[in-house]
Amino acid sequence: MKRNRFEMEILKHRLLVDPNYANNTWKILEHAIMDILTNHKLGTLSFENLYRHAYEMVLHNFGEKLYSGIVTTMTSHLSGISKLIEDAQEEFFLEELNQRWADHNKALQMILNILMYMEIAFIPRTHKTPILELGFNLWRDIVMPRTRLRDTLLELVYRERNGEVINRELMRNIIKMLKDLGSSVYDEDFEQPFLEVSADFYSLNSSLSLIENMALLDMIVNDKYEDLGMQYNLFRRVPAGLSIVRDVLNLYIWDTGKQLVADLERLKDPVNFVQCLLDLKDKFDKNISLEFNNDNTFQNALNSSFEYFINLKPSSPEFISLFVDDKLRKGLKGLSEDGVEVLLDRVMMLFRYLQKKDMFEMYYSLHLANRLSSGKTISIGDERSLIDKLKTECRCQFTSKLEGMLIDMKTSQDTSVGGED
Amino acid sequence: MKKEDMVKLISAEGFEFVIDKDAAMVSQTIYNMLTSPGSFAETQHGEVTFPEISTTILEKICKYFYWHLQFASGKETEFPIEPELTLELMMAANYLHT
Repeated sequence: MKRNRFEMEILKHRLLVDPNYANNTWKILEHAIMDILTNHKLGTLSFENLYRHAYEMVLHNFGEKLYSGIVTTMTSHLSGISKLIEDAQEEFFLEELNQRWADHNKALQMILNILMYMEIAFIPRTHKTPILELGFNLWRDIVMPRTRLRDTLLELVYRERNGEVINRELMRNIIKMLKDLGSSVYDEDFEQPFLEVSADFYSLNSSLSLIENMALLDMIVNDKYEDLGMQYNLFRRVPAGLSIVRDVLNLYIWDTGKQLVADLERLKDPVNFVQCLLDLKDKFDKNISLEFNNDNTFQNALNSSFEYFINLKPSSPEFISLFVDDKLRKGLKGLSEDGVEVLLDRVMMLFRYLQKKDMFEMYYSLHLANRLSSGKTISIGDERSLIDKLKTECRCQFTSKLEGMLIDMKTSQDTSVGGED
Repeated sequence: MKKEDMVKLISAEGFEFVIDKDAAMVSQTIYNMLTSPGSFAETQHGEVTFPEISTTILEKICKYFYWHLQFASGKETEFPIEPELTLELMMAANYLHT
């Protein structure tokens, strides 16, 4: 409201003498916009100058002329681009499309910045399409060679399935472009046809080819989260697809876990071992939540794998207790209150996997007793916190024993210090 | 006071105000200018000329930028505006999207 009142004041103060004002100003902007679209003369264009011209046009009620001018200019430019892409040779088609799309995005952003005043002061009240959306729509309607693109993408998928190496990054960029253009574009131009082709493929092949397995593995091992996410979304809709991905993930988890547990070096360093366990769990949790949509079946698979190989190792209960011991002795320094909570919760998570919980109990009591008697525990609060968590988890006798130890400790402290609470 | 963190704003009369980029970017317009992809003349040289903004107003605006940076951290003070500057200041603020 306040803005409009001042705009009117501003208009009153401006003298509009030149009848050609609008045309001349538009001409200036038109040239600049074309320079931006064609990537010319960068570094010589003055932002302030252009911004001011656009600002004044809108202020003087020439917003309509400005807006339609932009539509026209972009449309004619993109028609040229469309032709270029059409003429592109087979091997260069995707690259050309990709490059032009990147150029278009950059130009759009620059144009938006210059025309920001129109975007916020003119477009909303006239209900016109905002600039970025306009740019995307024009691209979609004028440039996008939809049939050829679809066919090219499917061809690539086919080639990869037959063991050829394709440019995955390029493909990823193109698919991202489809998504940016609107989910319906992505659906129609890629996902639907892809699924049709895949259904055929998978019904012919009951399991993934070796190449696909390796590709999946590569993604998992190297944390290629985006790739994984894409794969998951595609596989999800194909009947056997999901269990295949799950199997690959499972195998990988088992394998890694078993290796970790068998590693003789690690046997010497319990703290390190437990830390590795935690890191591994983290990685897979992240995988599952980011890529696999927190899919329950995946989560269950992860849990059973973890349970298996943690218990494969007879010294796990002791090691986990030693890990806690180490942390509590060092005082969990540098961790915020939340950080402490998180760490203790993660220890609890490992505890839950243990089958021989009584062994853990034995070691834990031992280690706690040591800490208390040698005065090596830094924070009674943290000790308390962990015991409470154990209590919630298992409601067994040993937690009351542990509590008893803490109380005894406190009592003896109070007695020696003289009752300081 | 590194050079890369400063930007020069030049008034209609040619007065130069060298201020922190953080301050200048209180103006959404200047922010867009400095963070825009592609290279505009202004980002190349680190200076922006405002041929339509007088020295007095530009100076006031620079003060406003710094006041705003302080105010954002919670201190409650009022920004003093001399009445005769009000209209021009509001126009400039509208222009700079501040």
